[in-house]
Amino acid sequence: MLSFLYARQSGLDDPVRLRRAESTRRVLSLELNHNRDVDRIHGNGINTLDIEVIDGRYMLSGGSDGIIVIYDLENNSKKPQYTCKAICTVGRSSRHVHKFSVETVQWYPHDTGMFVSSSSDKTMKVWDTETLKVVSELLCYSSHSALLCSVLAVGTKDPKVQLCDLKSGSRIHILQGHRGEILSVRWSPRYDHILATASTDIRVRIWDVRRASGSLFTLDQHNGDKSKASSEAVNTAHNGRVNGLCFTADGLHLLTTGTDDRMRLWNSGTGENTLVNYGKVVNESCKGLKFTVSRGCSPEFVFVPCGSSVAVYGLHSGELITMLRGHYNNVDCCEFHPDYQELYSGGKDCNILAWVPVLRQPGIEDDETNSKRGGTQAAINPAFEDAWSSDVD
Amino acid sequence: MSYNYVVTAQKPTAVNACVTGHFTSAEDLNLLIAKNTRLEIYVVTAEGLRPVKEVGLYGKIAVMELFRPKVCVRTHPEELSLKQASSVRKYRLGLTRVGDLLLITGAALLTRCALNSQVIDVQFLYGCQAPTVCFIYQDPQGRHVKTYEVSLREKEFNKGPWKQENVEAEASMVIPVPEPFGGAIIIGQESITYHNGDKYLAIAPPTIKQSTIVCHNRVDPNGSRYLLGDMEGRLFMLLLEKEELMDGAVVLKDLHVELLGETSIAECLTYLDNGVVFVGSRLGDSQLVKLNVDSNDQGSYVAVMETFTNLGPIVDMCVVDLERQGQGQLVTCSGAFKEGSLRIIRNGIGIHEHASIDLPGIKGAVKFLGGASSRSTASVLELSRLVKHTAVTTHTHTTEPYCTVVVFTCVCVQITSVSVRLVTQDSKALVSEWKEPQGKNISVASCNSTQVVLAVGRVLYYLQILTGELKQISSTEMEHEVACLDITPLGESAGESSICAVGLWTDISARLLKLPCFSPLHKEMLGGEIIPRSILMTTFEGSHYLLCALGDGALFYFGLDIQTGVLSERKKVTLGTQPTVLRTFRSLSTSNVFACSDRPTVIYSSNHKLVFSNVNLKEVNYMCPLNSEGYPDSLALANNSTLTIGTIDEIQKLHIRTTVAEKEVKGAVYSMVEFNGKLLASINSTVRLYEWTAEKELRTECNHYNNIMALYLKTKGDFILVGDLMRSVLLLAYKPMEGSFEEIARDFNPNWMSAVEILDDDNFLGAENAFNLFVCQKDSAATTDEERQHLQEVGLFHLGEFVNVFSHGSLVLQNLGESSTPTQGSVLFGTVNGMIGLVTSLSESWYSLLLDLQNRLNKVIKSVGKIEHSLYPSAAVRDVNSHSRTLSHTHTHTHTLTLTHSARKGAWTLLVSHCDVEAATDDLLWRRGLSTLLHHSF
Repeated sequence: MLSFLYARQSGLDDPVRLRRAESTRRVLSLELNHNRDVDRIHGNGINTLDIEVIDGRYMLSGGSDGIIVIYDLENNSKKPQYTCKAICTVGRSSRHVHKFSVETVQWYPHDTGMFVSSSSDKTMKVWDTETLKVVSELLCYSSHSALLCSVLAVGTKDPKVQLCDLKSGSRIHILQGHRGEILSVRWSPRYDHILATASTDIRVRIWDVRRASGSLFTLDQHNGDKSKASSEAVNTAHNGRVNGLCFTADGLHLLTTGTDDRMRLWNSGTGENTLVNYGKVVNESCKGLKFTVSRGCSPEFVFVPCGSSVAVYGLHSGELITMLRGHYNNVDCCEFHPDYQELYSGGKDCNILAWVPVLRQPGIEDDETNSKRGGTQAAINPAFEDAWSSDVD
Repeated sequence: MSYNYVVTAQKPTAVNACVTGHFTSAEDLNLLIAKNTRLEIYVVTAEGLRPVKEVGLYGKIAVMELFRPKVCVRTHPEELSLKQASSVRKYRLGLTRVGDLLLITGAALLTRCALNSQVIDVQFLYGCQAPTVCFIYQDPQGRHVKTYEVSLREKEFNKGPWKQENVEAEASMVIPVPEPFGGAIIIGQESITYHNGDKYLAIAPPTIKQSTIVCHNRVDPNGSRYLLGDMEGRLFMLLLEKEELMDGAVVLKDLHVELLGETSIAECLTYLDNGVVFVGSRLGDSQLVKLNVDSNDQGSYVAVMETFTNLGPIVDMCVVDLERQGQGQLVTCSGAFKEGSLRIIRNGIGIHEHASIDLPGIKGAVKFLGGASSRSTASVLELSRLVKHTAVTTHTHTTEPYCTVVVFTCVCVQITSVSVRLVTQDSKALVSEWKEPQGKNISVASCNSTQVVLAVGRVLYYLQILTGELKQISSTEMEHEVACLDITPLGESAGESSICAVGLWTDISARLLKLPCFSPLHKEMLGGEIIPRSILMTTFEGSHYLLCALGDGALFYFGLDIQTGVLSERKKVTLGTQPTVLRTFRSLSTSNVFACSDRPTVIYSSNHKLVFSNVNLKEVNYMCPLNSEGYPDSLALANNSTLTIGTIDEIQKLHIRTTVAEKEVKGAVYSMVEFNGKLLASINSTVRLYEWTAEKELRTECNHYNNIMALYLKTKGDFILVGDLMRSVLLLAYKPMEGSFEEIARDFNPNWMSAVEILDDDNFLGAENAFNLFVCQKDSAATTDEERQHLQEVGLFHLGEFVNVFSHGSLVLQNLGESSTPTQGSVLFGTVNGMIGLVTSLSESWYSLLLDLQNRLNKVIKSVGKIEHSLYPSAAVRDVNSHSRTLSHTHTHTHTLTLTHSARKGAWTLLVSHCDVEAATDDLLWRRGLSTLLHHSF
């Protein structure tokens, strides 16, 4: 660390290098930490999480029980130990609440005053954060949505992908091409007219929404090599249903997961399969899988729910770096906090767990302080982890 | 709300890049030096480097290359291409690496290629059919060299003519070799390799292993010699030995590396001409070195011709007042590795004292020295004799001589209160004498080599100096008594002035009279009640000026038309508090004016704007230039008790002296400060207060843990500001009674900090990783606990420089006498690139005025490379949402200094028309606004 600080101070290194190196170190040291706790509100599995990008302060969660919760991630306790408070909840008592499981929640990208949710109760709701009331509602089948500015892309049980205008609440465009249920939709963070959709028809399509015609291209796991694929498997991304999509932060690559227990990394510009081998990525989810990638690290990492743990892979190396174990049931979603390199994961055990980087140990020379603050020391000691986890239950 | 103003005191000095070529014209050999956001253009002449122009950019210069547009039939001067972080401008076929992206550009972006494996270096190759790039990349197996052809039609990379896998593990640079050889040289840690597809040649000279080669430059157009520079500052020559084959083809026979000698640690090298090399350095001073054919005693072929001071990287600094004059000096820890040094920086002009004599009542002696100044053989001994001699003369005449001028080599004019005497210098014989007809005393006089004008009360007399005779030509009576006068010849009048400038008592006016008839040309009422004490006509940079100093230290200056005698562009500055005497002198072949007062000032012109620079002397009553063998280009300065002879430092530079020192740090203690007699330290994530025990040992009193990594500490009273590695700033209060820390407030923005400072009780300044400055405010009046815990970001400013250190203090005297300076407090900052700047608070009205001015200037000033000013701050990595921006941008303010008169007026007219400010306040606002801020602030 001192050498990085010196190199930054004397201008030998670009200041970004220190930032990347430290971010990477922090991601590699992620663990459950007794200093951080998230209020337990949901009484059922948690399907989806989203952290807003403006202040990085508020997190949304949507559960199988139809409840939506907003958490404040900021530490106002003036102490290292704190609990992320649930500041408001759309509970069963609210007349706006979703009747069935909430599949997606997402903040409006430019303002925390609004967010959208979609549910298997065949509705899509746009919420006012202040009043927690629905400002507009769309009827559609069980849906997965992705929001970009004022255009909302909705994938449903129907193979057609719908684009809705958030202002008017009306459908403005329909993208046709898939032949099965849409399990995931994502906008490219690089170009605001590029959309990726994943479907049970084992295909992933990339769309340019400015064009009226069909998709730009379909991802092909064999890169066009006919000899490797049977005729019906041409232009397929996976050998099973594709249930997860995630662009890298720079938008140059796209990750997909499928029920064939594979994860694939694609060049999002050309649709080429980069053939990074992540090994077997167990994927039993029959719904959409919400996984995420790190931001600002070098190299970058993928966090993907895998059974009851979160697997951390090197994005370009494909190497399994670690399994974050802590949940008692299947993990359905995880969300990375790019500002502080923290990971939040939600699972069927109704918990949201915060994975926090280990702090560097303070000076070793003071025995008296160490004994006084045994707590922080314990955080570094893995033996305390289990004891803490059982507290949560 | 607090408003702050950021201004540059010392521009960046670290050199990032340099190129040589014919840029300003086909005949000129130019050296272009990039210093972060600034570009300096020099012409290489036989005498050395001559600066042509300096331009500022709204962006950092990442790469700089010269190229000649190929489509033009006529040879154009090579055009400059500037690449901003991710945008490429005016490039014929360019190659840019931005992070993990490789961009090939033509008129627009042609293609991009994401590089999964780490690319170490990339270059275009010479002599290929299609554009071919060659790069070194790293994968888990090691480093490899690959070539790719760029298909311009398909905008794609195709497989290139050759590749070489598993080159040296530390291979770091590709040097493309021009024809006839072609191919590329790969520089590694231990070896240098040549490849061109069919030929492979590697050498591993032991001398290069010591350090890492960081830069290279081609010496000959045919690519047979290359300069290499390493991290230890050693300079090598790489020679390519050629061999002619039977079929006439030229191929490479062997490679040789020779150590030439030691220079500063080079960041970039460029070969100018005639064995002269410019060594651009980021870690030490840049140098101009000569490569000699023969080695010197130390075995070095390198001789340093010139050194260009570089303050960067400023790792730490503090403001001290060494000379106890109320004027701060800045001590910086500059440089890195072998270039590490401590430097002392002071504002203004330094006088190097060479000799001084204690002489009470020295008034007369200095004036006599005015006569002796042109004598080329004056030495210390002679000087003291002259002083003695003067004393004798004054004694015999019982009058003080006013003014002595050597007219010819052997004759001098001596003006005393009773008479004007023409004296031969050798024999001291009186040739001619003029006395006032009624024998009245001469009150003031001025003379040049052919003319004398003197005043006796209200009457002015004009005398001409003829051979062996003083002849009265004319006389006139003024309305009031004459206070001061001047007949310095201006323009091409060759020693004779056609204008006489006069300052009068009673009506406090400055007048211009025509000589010899004394007909009035112009009358300027100065206003007020303080009489003019000294008047002077002078020429700076081809423009004529009239300067008139008053008895209270104020100075009026005007533009002067020497044909009509009309004064224009009246302006006023305050130089001191005592009567001021103006004297001209020449330094480095430009004319300057020395204003003698309690705060001596040197007045000179920079870009047709007068600049007032203070001098590191306490009080000067009289001054005259002295140019003799013993004291070449010197000044003689006198106050009531002492005569000092000194030389003047180069003007317009911060005064920098260098010493060498070492600093030792132990452990992971990131910061330590004295705090209420105790020691406050930050150790990793902990802020810890140590108290002294009776046994003088340190004992922990209390800790604060809620940080990720506490890197920086600043204190004020019981408050502590902590700068975190990545969690912005945190304000702590120390509770002496409880012996504990309390968290007061925190900025929750994820800023990666590089320096912090406490501006006042409520405002906190921070600098962060993405080259921004920001100000946070504590809101003590907030109603809720949560609001009180938040430091609100109230100002943001994109500086474009990595700030390492903040320090309270100023390099100028604090009590300037001018209470109108609209700023409060001052914090200096030092950056990696050797820039020193200042942050100061100003009122809201000043802020809005300056912001308005800045916006208007942006409409007038054309930016280089058409990079909009408004784009500059957005280049910051961090997104800034609708935060109010109350740090005024000064990029353009520094620009105003280089505006021509007309452009400046244009901008001002725009502003005035908007603000409904009367034309009369133009001068006041302009002067007080910008020059006060810019010059008094620094």
